[in-house]
Amino acid sequence: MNNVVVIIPAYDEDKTVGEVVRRIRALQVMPVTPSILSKAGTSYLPTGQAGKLQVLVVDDGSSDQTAEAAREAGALVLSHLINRGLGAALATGLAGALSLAADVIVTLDADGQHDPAEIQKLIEPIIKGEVDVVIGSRFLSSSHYSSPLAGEARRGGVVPRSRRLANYCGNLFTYLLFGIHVTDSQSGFRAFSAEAARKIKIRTNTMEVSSEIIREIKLRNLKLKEVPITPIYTEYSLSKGQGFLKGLETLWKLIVLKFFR
Amino acid sequence: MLIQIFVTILAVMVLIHTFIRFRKATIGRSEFFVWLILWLGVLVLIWNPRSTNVVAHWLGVGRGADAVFYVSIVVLFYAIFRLYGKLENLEHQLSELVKKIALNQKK
Repeated sequence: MNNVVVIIPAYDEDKTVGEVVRRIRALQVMPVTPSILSKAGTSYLPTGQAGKLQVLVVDDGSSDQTAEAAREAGALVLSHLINRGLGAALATGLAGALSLAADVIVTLDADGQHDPAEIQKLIEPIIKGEVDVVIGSRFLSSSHYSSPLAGEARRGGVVPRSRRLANYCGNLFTYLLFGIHVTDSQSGFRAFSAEAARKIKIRTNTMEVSSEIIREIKLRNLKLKEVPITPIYTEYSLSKGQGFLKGLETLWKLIVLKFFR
Repeated sequence: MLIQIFVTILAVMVLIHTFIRFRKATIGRSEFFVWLILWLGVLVLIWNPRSTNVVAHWLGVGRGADAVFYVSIVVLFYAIFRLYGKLENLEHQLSELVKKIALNQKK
């Protein structure tokens, strides 16, 4: 059995979350298609046994119709009474996914920047038992391929310069503070084995969680693999980005996490 | 000097308040002694400013008053970081609570 639970942390995302859920649910058969089984080539996948794909949206105290939109699209929804931030939403998502008997857990953003078709790429190394955690990196992909889902997207796969710079700083400080280098420390597209999800303890509340997860991977001796992903940048998802001040705040919180908690 | 009288009044008020809190057991013994030593230190410094010169000389700073400022800033910075760390832990506990409620809803 390979139950896959996809976690979508969402705060005021009722414009996009329903569509993201529907696209993931359209992949329903994906985790057990013969192509994956043959690719796996190991005994990790008992052939013929169907795994489930479930979508779990964590509504982080949204003031809009996020929870309703997600439910309508067929997702399970866990709601935070009040807004607690991305880190808290992911912690709730991981706990919820484990209680759904997940074998593989995927996280992706509610704004539509991650292509559900790429989930397969992320979970494969885990199903094969090669690694414990997979991070989808926007900076490993060489091709500027345009995603079929892009639609109104600006340029499929090309990361704006400001994002590149912000991410470079994120990677640098993640390395300086926690001693592990990755090409996309701020990526929200990840996959965990259930074992890894149980070991990872999230103690931060907001955006700094991305770096904290990388710290946990190192701390708990988990095996990490980065796979290239192609982000879909739309006007909408770009408007949801973090500013310079937010970046400084994130850095400050990481320093506090490292030395004062 | 007027400042000496003001600071003395302040220190005595704080010390009385601390002693009351210690008696009521809202603060522990070690915490009480930290505050006691701190404010008695303030009293010594304010009535005998030359005593800071000894510390300043030892630290390699010219004047006693300067040494007090430098040390204060370092201590304040440390205190702010510690406070922030505790605040973050508190925030984490709040998140834990919100998480538990969210997980309970499902059942």
